[in-house]
Amino acid sequence: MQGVSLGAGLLITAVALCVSLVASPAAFAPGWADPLNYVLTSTVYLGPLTLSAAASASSQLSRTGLLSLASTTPRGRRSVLTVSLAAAAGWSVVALLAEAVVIGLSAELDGPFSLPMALLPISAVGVLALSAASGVALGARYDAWLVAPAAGLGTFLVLWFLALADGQLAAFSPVFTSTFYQVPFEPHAALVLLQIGLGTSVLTAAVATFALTRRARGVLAVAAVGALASVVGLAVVNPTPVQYRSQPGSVLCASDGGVVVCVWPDSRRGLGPMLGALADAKAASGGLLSTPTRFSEEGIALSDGRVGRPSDPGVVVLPSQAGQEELRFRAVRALVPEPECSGGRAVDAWYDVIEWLTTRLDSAYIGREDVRAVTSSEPSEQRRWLDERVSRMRECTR
Amino acid sequence: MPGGAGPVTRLGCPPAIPGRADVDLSIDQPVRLTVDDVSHTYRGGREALRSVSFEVGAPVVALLGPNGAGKTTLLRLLSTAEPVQSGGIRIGGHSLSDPYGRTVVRRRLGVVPQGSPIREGLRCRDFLAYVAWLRDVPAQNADREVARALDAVELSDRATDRVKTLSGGMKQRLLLAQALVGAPAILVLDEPTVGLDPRQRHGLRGLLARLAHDVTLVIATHLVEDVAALAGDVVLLDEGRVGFCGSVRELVGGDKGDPVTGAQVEAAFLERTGTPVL
Repeated sequence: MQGVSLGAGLLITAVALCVSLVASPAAFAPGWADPLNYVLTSTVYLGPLTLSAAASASSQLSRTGLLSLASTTPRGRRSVLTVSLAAAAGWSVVALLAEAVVIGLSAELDGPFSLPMALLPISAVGVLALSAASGVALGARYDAWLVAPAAGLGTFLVLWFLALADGQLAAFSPVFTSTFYQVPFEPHAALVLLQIGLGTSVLTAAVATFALTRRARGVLAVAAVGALASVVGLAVVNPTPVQYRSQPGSVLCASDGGVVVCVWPDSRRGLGPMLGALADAKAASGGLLSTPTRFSEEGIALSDGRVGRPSDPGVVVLPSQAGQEELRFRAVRALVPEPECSGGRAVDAWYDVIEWLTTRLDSAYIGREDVRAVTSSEPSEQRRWLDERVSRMRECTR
Repeated sequence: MPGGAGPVTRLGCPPAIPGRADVDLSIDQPVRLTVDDVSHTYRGGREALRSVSFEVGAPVVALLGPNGAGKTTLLRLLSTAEPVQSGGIRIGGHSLSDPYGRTVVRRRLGVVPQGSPIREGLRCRDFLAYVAWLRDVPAQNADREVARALDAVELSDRATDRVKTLSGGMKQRLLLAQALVGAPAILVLDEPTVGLDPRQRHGLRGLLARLAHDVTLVIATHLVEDVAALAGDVVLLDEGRVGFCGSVRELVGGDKGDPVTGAQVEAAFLERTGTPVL
């Protein structure tokens, strides 16, 4: 009688299951992070629904006078509202779990599970708990029937807006809708922890409003301090939602045609195709271009201990889809890394070399006419042309 | 007609509540109400009560006044639904400004609010079972309390019926039943007979008169007939101030044995406050 209505609970569950059924597990990168992020993203829908259901339940309690009656009893309005909170949060967490199970059954949950990855489901549960608490507090305070749907819609719009935000404002979005956690990446732990901290503070404040006692004021003060500290942290933290994973205990390596490739254990299915593409690209260079022979996947530490980035020589970025065109594209860029410049002669020279190698690698490729003419010239002419461009690439100024 | 202070009796404590053995739940009957210089202002600045002070101790106390006089506000303070902003209120010697005192009072308090805080689709006994939970009645006693409350208001035969099937008078009796769950020492009722037809009103007054033998009643009403039929003590409220406090006989005058009529009460109200009750 005090919790959310059965209809509201079933609606939340139905939406969660729909979200899980429209997911494309084939689009997930191998590993845990991408599927977990998808579950977190679904809180954009589940959160507002939960808030609306909770607000509807508590506003009805207030409108009918039951909340006022409860305030004259030993259990008080606090108990009644806490039950509404537990019911709303319970429905939404169960719905989230059902969604996670459906996605988990179809996704490729390979590889190690790290603590930063665990922050994603924690954040998802936090969003739902906060939604439930906020809804209960809102409905108890403003009992007009319109409050629940209006608050739900408003929350959805805010979450949607934040999810699309750029720059530092993106740090305040609890979901990362545009982020795909490729194998080398995991959630940015500091960012997610700050978001969880902000959510926990606001949740604490919302629950404290049920109490209406002197102690509640102290709790509100602590929650305000926590929220302020989290906001300051989010205003300065790097808003990028990804960070490189900790180094793996071991990597998988394979060799072919004088090329050696080492990848994360989770990327074992992509190792063979990538090795083949790199070997083909190396062969296509015909010895005219100086290229690495040893490659490691992005995120794996290089010989000097640095984390390998796409712009480093000998670093390859594996594609999520193993189509031939995409593999060639990645192989060419691994052999000829993009200079870290912002435009200018170096980048133009780099485009020329990429175009040259791609034209030699793929006979079906229709590229620039001038570069095609170079690939048909004498090897010595091609070497001279390449040396000139490699020299320009090294002029890179930041 | 119940009226005047009867012999003081001490009710026994309700069945022991686990973990709360240190709370003394006894309250003498009839319960003495002391309101000392209480004022109350709502958000927005509306002053509902202005320095209200009175002390009463009859088995039935009526708060009489027109709409907007402050009756419901005073009742909400007495029932601990609102915190006391200024001044003090004591019920049975327990201060409502003290958390311990509030706990004791809530455990021995039943409230019949205006309106109907009942979900119509519920069965009568299920609603009372929920109230038993609110009143922290031990689970093993809940069914017995529900049956006792329904029996007290003569609704035992409707226990399994849904609330929406009850007449207006029966719903009011059900509201009264929920207030009786948990063996209260004091019942606070806000306009209990409003909206009832004369027959229902008469029936409910008879029921309240019977209850007044065991429980102290505090009734807020603008119906002078309710005061005439039930009250021992009466507090006249007008624009947030007390116009009179004492026995109904003191209010209307006349001999002790003469029946009191609603017209007499209305005339006395007009004489004391300068405004009509209705």
